Amino acid sequence: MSATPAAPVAAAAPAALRRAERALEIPPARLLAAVLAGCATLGSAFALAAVSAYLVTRAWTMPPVLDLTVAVVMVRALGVSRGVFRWLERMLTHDLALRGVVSLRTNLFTALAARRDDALTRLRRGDLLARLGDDAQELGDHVIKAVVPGIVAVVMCVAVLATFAPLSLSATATMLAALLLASLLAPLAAFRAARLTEQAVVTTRSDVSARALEILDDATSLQVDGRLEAALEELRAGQSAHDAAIDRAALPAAIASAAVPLTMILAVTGSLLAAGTAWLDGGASAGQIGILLLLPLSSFEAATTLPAAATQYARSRAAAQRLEALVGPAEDATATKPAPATALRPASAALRAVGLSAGWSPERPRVRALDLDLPPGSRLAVVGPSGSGKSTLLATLAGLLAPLEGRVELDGHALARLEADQVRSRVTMFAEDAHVFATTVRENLRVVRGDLEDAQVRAALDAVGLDDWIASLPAGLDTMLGPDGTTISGGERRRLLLARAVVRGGPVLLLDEPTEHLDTARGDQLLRALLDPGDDALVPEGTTVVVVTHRVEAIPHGTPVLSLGPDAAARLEESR
Amino acid sequence: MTTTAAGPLTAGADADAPAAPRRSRAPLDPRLVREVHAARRHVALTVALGLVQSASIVVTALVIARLGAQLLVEREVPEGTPGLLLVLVAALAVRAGAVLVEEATAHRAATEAISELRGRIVVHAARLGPRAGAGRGADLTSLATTGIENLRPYLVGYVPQLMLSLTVTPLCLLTIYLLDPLSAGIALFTLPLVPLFMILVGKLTVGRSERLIADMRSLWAQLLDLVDGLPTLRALGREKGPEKMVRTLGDRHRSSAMGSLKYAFLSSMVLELLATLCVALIAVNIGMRLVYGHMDLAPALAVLVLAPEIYQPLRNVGSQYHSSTDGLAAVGAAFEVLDEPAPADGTVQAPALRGATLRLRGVSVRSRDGFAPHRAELEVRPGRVLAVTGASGSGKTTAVQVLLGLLEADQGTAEIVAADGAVTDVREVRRRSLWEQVALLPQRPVLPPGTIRSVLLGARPGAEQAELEAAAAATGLDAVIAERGWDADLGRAGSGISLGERQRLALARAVLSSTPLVVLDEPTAHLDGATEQVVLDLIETLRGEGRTVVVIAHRSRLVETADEVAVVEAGR
Repeated sequence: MSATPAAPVAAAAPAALRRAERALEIPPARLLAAVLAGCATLGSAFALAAVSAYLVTRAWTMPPVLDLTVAVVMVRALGVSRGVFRWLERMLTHDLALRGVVSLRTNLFTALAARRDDALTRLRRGDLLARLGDDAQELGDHVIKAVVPGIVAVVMCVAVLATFAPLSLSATATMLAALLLASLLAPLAAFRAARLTEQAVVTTRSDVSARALEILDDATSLQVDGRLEAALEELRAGQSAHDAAIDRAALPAAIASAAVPLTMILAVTGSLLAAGTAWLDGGASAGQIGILLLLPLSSFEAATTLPAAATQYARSRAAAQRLEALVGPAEDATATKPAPATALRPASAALRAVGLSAGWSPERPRVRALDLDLPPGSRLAVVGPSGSGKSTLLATLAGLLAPLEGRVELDGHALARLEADQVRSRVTMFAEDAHVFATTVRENLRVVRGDLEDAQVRAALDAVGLDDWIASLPAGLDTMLGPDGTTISGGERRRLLLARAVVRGGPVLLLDEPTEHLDTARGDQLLRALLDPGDDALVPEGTTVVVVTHRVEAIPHGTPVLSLGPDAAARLEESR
Repeated sequence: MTTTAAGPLTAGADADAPAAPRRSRAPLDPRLVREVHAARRHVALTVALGLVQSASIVVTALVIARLGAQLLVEREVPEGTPGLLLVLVAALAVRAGAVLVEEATAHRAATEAISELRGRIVVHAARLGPRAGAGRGADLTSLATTGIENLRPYLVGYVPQLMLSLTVTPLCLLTIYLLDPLSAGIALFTLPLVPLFMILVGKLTVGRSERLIADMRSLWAQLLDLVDGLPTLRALGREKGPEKMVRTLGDRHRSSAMGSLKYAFLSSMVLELLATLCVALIAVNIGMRLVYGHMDLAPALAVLVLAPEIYQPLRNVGSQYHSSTDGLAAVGAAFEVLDEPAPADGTVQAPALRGATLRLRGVSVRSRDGFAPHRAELEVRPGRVLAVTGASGSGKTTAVQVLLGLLEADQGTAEIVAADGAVTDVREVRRRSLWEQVALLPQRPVLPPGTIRSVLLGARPGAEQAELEAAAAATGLDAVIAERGWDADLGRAGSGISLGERQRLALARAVLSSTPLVVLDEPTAHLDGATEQVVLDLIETLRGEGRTVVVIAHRSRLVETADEVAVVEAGR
């Protein structure tokens, strides 16, 4: 991120941050309470310094002790109140931030779910992790470190000036200059530098994270391939770039920290000289002189939080922009077309192909002019040599691939005219690279149907040959699986996904090579269970099942078989 | 995630919560200081700068008190003693300078330390082999990505304040004692209350922060899992609804976090309370003695300026408490990974595999419930095709990982028998020299980024177009190329194409590479059934070239084509 592209970015950043702040859904009443608690905390300390300075110098004039009673009581009370207010402020601010992060994550997730598939799958996992983790958190910190302290600091600066004003105008003037310098110039300088560098930092760090993740995930392949050293070298290069970027942030951060002690010189000396004038003029009491002498040292507590707030503000803006890039422009996420009032029967569906040509490119259709009528409860086996387009046909029937010619109809409505979720709720396709959730075996099946009974879960697992595996697990169905099935073998994973597709049921079930990871006997048994309409242990009678398989000999007698030929020709016959 | 990606907890990152006394964990990890050069230098420098700051604080207090007393008692204006005024300005400037230097060098030290530790973790995890992440879930990756970054706030924010509390606090206390022993007595009376109350608060919070961190980790893992599974949920038409789960997970975390913070913030309350109470007690005490003329004005003013400074570093340490726990947790986790012994690389040059036999003798690897494989025996003879078969979960892939020296067996040995009959344990072999002779196709192939052409060229640099086309034709990749072209971008790790297409591409790479040993892990898993023929033909081609093939397979036809079959079984 050089300075050149920063200009349009800077224009968009505040808007992105405002949208992210809205996504935090911060209630104004809670924000006000947090700010009041913050002011009370800093106010206690400031008042304690003022009253005790007054008390000591007034006492030096040896007045009657009774004259000091009010000051003594105030000092004691202020000695206690700060701690209590601090606790209150911390609680209110953190609750506010945590609520905000929850709302933000929920809104992000909803927006992600509304994005088109390819946008989601093209994201590197490391990036996604960084967005939902670090960046969402960054906006929580935005509340804690920028929003609340920022408002509190403004209130406190006014309070400080209001305290000095009646004592000495010249002291007030130097204090005003010092406060302006500390609370405007220093954070602004810190912000300018931090924004330019932090932006670069976060991009290079995402890069480092993504590279580290890829190495950790695929170390084995990289090692045997001899690409590990190169990958580590890339990681090191990325790290150096990141180091260089983050080193640029060090100096501005240091200047920001040193700014308050530096401006204190102005406030302290200015107030000291004003005290001299005021005392000799006889216009001020000893107590007031005491305040002028000592209070400047305690007037900058609110200002010390400001450079951090400015840095956080820069980070929040960068985070908000990245989040915006993740979910796409706001209108994409919110614009949902109203579902057309298409009446579809829920429990069963008639699937029809009319003059269907299917393929990935118009020049090379894999299937040509296919007419297929699958009333509810149909069973169909699809066979054919490799490359004959079996999977392509299945993807087209599932509505994942648009037909080259002709159409696919569900209950008489062309698939292309239906809403995606209307199609998905009726047509289930078994996908081999589906996600295995890091939860129990049972929940991995229930994810598709919340009302599944244990008996149904077991029946499905039996059918795909996972009964022995379940029996061997320490907690049976309650065994927790690792993230994305990393703790189970490839075969188990595939069969679990198959069981999930089967229990999902729905009117139409499309399965691509379901028996692949099974031994021959088990595979044949499963194929029979799927294709025999009389066998409703696995799939109800009314469900339409289409199975792509290469095990022609295991297809039950009487099952319709669609044979796809090499020249996009299709032939429908009955299995003998 | 580590405490880090920990998500919302870190929203409490700057909480003023010194919380529990640091049970069992020193505020400075000795290994960090010992092993990481940047951290060691940083600690030494912050101690020196702490002394400089202490000196300027004391000088500031003394000069202001002196100027104030001169003015009130002798009616001498501050500009009447320009030397003193100059000393005051200089002291304040020195303090600002020390802060500047400290902050700048702290960032540099943190950058170096993070860079070093991340590099070491990733290299070590890669050396630990396929099971490095086992049992750690998302933890290892999150440690290497975001977790280790927690060292920055720790080194920049916490460590300097810790060092200041070791320099500023005692020096201010000493100065107060010299000016007015009674005030020092009050401070000394309140100071021990800090650890006392901290212990009491600690008893209240005991176990809470650990529970919170564990809770947070599991919630984060669940959230991540939901996001990972989003495409699947969409394919199943269930993408609406999980966002409620996200909110529920978040709300559960918030209430559990607030429950802990309620107690954790008590400690910051106690610190603030004692700090202000100490100042208040000293002020009232001094005031009373001044009224009766028992004390001079100058020391009174100096003591009043110094009193808050005693507690300031302690309060800052408290406000950086989370930086310290997060940072120390990251350091602990980092050394936990680094302490795990990695299988040492061997020193012996691997024999030429073209004439060598690889074998497993009684190899067992511990699994979730017993061993998979259990007492595996197999022999890969040169120029032959070996099928490794067995039930799902029997440890076929693991057995081959042991054979290739990627993983150490818990029992048994993997050996290479050279053409001349010399037997070498795989563990003694310099792995690189072995792997150079191997092409491995895992179940989910990992491809380098680039186009179809560049990925294929990577397997045989400088290959002719005709060679590439032949390899593409042999693996059915030609159909993919016909549709997308040679220069289709595959994205990172081949994410732009389907699993089946990725598999074909990986097969074509194996054909193009000229390694004597080719390992195919379930090569037909993601191909249409009849493409099996492609793999069978491919194996024939490899056999014709005199190359050795190990194929992990379920399919009977693949097993039938093999010269030998080894069956792997799991056991207890």
